[in-house]
Amino acid sequence: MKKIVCFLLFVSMVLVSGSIAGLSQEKKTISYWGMKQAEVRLIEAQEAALVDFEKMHPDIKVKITVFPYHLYRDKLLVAASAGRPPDICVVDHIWNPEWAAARFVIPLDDYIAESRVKSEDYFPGAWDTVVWKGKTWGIPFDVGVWWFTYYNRGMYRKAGLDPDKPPIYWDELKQYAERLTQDTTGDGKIDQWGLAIWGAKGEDTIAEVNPFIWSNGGRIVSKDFSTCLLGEKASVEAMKFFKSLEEVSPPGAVTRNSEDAFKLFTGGKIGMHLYGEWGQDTVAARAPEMEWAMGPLPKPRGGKSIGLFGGWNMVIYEKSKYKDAAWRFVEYWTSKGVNEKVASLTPANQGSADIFLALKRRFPELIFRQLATAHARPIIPAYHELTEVEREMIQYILLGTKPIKKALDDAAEEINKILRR
Amino acid sequence: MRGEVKKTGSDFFIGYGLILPTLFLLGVIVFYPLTYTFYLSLFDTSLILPKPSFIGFQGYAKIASSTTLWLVIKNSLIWTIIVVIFQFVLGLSAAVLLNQKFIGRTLARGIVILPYVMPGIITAMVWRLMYDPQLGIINKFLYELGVIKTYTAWLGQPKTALFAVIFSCIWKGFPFSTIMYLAALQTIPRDLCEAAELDGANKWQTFITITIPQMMPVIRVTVLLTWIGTFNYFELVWVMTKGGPTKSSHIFPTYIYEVAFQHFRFGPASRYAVISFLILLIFSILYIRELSKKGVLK
Repeated sequence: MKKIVCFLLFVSMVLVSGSIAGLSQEKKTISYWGMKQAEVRLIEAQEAALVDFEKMHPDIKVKITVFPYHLYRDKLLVAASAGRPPDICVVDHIWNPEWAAARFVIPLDDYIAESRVKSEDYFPGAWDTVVWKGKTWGIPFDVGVWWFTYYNRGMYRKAGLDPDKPPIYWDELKQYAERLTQDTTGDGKIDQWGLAIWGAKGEDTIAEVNPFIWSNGGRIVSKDFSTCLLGEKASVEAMKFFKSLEEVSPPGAVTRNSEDAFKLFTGGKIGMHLYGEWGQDTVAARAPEMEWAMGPLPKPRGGKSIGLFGGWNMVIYEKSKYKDAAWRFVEYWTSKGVNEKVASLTPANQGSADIFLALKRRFPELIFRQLATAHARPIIPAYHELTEVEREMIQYILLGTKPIKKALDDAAEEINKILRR
Repeated sequence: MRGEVKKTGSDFFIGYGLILPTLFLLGVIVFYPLTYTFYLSLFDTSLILPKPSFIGFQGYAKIASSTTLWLVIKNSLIWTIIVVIFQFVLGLSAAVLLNQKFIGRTLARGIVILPYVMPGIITAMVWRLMYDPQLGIINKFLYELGVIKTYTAWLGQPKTALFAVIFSCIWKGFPFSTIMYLAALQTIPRDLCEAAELDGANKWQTFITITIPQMMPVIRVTVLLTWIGTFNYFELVWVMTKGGPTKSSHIFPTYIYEVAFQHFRFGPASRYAVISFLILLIFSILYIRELSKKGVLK
């Protein structure tokens, strides 16, 4: 009996000391979800930055999992709803308030107060997307702005346009597009257009249209998000101009998305394309022979050039067991010196953006100027419902099913119901 | 007496014991989801509501007063009725043709089945390309024939979007009907048709009075299966139009998917799912009852 007791005591001591030893060496493994990147150099840069982080923080191990963009939101929603989210992920700007309202993520104000992170280091429009109900729910990671006027210099020359002078104003955009819209084969059918507006279901339709409204002095919702302002005069004028661009676009705008329009541009079917600055790599890859340039987002006479912010924020999940470790990674990944190496879009940190744009983009000053004045979309949890109504409104206008003013008023009425819920 | 099997108590338990695994499986994959969907339909849910809130049948009253429900019902009925009718007509016609003897019949039978075996997503993507307003061959073909004067966005107009998808669905699904009817044709005794011809019936009369009645059990089942399959069909509509433009091609499966998995609102999506289930159930009961009355159903 005595021997058995001694043996059991010995085994217990071995197990306990082994556990203590294990705990003291245990690394905190934090999971980070992001999107699949195609660019090999970017993947290598991210891996190198990760190695540096883990050297600086030997007690933390970061496990990165990536998903294709079209699956990403679904994966996140299912994981978060099931209570098994990652520790950190990037979320689209427009999802941030929704994630906050659903209590998926934590406010970061306490962490920010004790760190070197300052809101003034980031593009103002980008920082707006992380603030909801007075708290900060994420850190902006990277940004892009819709849109610029990509144009084919060769087609400009053939149409008698100056290839060094992109359109600055709305009337110039329309005039240039009219000159570019032609029958190039002489068979009586138009086979080349000025540009290709689109109106398919997708957030890129909103990204295309909102800059017209904002540049004309309009707003989607009031500053306190209580009232929809789509029915106002500035929006009506903007939508009238947008609708008029159908005359210089191939038919079928409602079935077309930005990628379809992009293919028409790189395929030499349209002379101009409205897209974000990240499209430069795509043009270079798909049409390496094309002589192209980029102009600013055109504005109405007397208006301003105001683009739409797209981009991603880093958030920390409520369910994370290692929030402190997660914050250290977020702080590192979004800092100047790292952000510009690991972001696929323009870094949200302005200092990093300067470096990134100078190295990786043509027309860096133009892009920086447009980023500095861009607006974020309405920062409300029910944004996805609002955007659905706005998209339908755009389709009604493109199809001519409703007069423009009625379509805007009906959409405003629907959106007001959502805002007042 | 000879041939009579006496049932004992243990036979009863053995019988139910043997079907218990199947009942369990049915319970898990059919009855539980059905019941839970109905339960969820009594709540208002969204990603940003901390807890689902019970609203009873108010949710049903709300969607009954919205135009969306009636649009989805109308689209679903148009979609299903037209596809079923044309798949029946085309399927039967193809089966009659393939039942004749001709050179290359085996090859023809293989080619006819191709649309059915092609994955739905691939079919949808190919048809979407064919309908492309600038690059699609349908516009080019119709323009060259003089049927249209300008290239048309078939999938981009509310008046044509649903019918454009219907056309591709008929193409995709008619081989199933063909296979079923071809098998049925081959079971009809030849002497019945010969007897009719001897009595002076022509081919059309023989087809109507002998062939079709002999095929009725198979026609009945095939139409029912086609109806249910078409009503619940998802990928063609979703990939080609996503229910647009402006909901003009939304049918129940696509709208339920959009509300549940894009808007993450399972309460409203469940209400639409329950209504969809009830419409299918009512149709199936009426259909089977009608056939029982006519003595077709044995």
